[in-house]
Amino acid sequence: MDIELPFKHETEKNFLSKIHPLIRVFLPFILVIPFILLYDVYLVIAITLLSFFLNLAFNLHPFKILSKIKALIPFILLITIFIPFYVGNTVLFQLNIGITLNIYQEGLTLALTLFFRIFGAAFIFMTFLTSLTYSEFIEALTKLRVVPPFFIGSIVIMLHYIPILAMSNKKVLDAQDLRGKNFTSYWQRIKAHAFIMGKNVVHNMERSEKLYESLKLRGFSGRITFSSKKLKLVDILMVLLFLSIIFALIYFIHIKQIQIEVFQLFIL
Amino acid sequence: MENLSFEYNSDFSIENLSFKIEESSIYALTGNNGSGKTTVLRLLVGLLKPKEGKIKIFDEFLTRNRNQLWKLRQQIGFLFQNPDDQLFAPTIREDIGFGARNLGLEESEINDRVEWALDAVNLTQYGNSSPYYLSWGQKKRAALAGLLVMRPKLLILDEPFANLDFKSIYNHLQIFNTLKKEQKMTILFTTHNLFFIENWADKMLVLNDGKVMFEGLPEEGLKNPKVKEVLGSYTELLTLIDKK
Ligand SMILES: Nc1ncnc2c1ncn2[C@@H]1O[C@H](COP(=O)(O)OP(=O)(O)O)[C@@H](O)[C@H]1O
Ligand SMILES: [Mg+2]
Repeated sequence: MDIELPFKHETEKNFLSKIHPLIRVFLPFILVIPFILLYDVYLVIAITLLSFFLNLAFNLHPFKILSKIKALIPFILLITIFIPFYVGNTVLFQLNIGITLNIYQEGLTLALTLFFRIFGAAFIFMTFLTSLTYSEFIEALTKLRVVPPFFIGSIVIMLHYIPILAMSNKKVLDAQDLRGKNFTSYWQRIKAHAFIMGKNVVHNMERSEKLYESLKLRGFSGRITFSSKKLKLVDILMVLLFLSIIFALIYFIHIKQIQIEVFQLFIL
Repeated sequence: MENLSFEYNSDFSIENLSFKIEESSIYALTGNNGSGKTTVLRLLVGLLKPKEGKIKIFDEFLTRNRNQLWKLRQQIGFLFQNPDDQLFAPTIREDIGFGARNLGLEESEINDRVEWALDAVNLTQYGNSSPYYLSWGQKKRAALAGLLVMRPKLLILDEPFANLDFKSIYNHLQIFNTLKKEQKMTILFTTHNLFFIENWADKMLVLNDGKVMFEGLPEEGLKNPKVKEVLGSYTELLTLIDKK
């Protein structure tokens, strides 16, 4: 059980590495605008698909990203799955399971829109997040003046201990296995896991205090900086480019119309 | 360090501790597990606050003034017993650079120092590796390099040789000796291993349950019957494991 943080390894290079980390933290926030502003389900799906293909085209490992956000899908389904049953008044079809349930067209559209909104936004966020290395992520946080230095310190310490915590949990469980502990049921295993987790969290809290002390002794003043890059013109242009794409999407209705027609042609 | 005393909330306390370390010498703090060695080190760098007594480092009395502590700590390198509590950055190079960056040096100066420190601990080829994948000895050396970039005058080493194989001990001793000779660094270390006291330290202090039992030359200390009784000795061990 190797827990990996969603960061890229230092040596991996991809297209996005060329852009300044700050921009890469900032861009997803711009890119989710269409997901908030657009109500048209076809357009939302189109943007989700487009970002997937762009991701594929630039070799950013979209399937890896998908597998990382697959844990989100049950939650999104939970939010959206009931909507078609009670929103709207155009009955699309009826379910007969003892009682009769109506599935409404408007509700279904709304549910789909919501689903793809959350899913698409999560996908875009992960695309950018996984393109960052750990130090780039910290650097971006440091550059964003709004994040208080203390908070950054805590994040660093927290991130440092997540894999260590997972690994030491595994070690304790292994040691118990070696001493002949027989987990007869799944439930027992979960209980054992929770117990060890609790102990390890306390233990690691003490350790994180030590890490904090060691940082202090090396002159830590609340601000963590690794070697940092300067913002370049390309980076600003990148933001402007994405901004204009999005405004184009939103304001040029005829593009939107074309999209809708194309999709209606293929889907419905 | 004069008449220092200290108490944890629990029942452990340090009483009336006084000692003085000569510049560019090697000083050993010894005692059995739980005798308070680590506690003394933490007092020295101001991580713990003494109940009574004064600590003087580099002709300056230690206060709780943050600015003074910060300046003082720049001149002290504190190597933790467990390097995992010290290494935190994604690569060795960045971890080592951390201390130098906090000094506010120029980027080129930082790079020079990082490369120098990597070389000093023989880890140049591991600069871009993640600390997770190094061996214990390599981690310890990486953590040490993280202190060296700050060019400290005093190195405080908590159990530097624990958990190391003979070859790694050899490498570490070589590094420490070079630092002492070329950088004129003073070394204060803790150990419960008589070998290093006998053969490496210039002076020693024996702690027993927070109290000083002996201070002085290792030759004399190791002959002292009370010290022998507390620390044990090779001859004592041999009574149990004599093969003949
Ligand atoms: N944070 C703490 N709070 C309370 N007691 C502590 C703490 N740290 C250490 N002690 C106690 O202080 C004593 C000395 O510990 P320490 O200085 O780590 O000994 P040594 O390094 O010589 O093995 C031990 O009995 C230990 O239980
Ligand atoms: Mg100790």
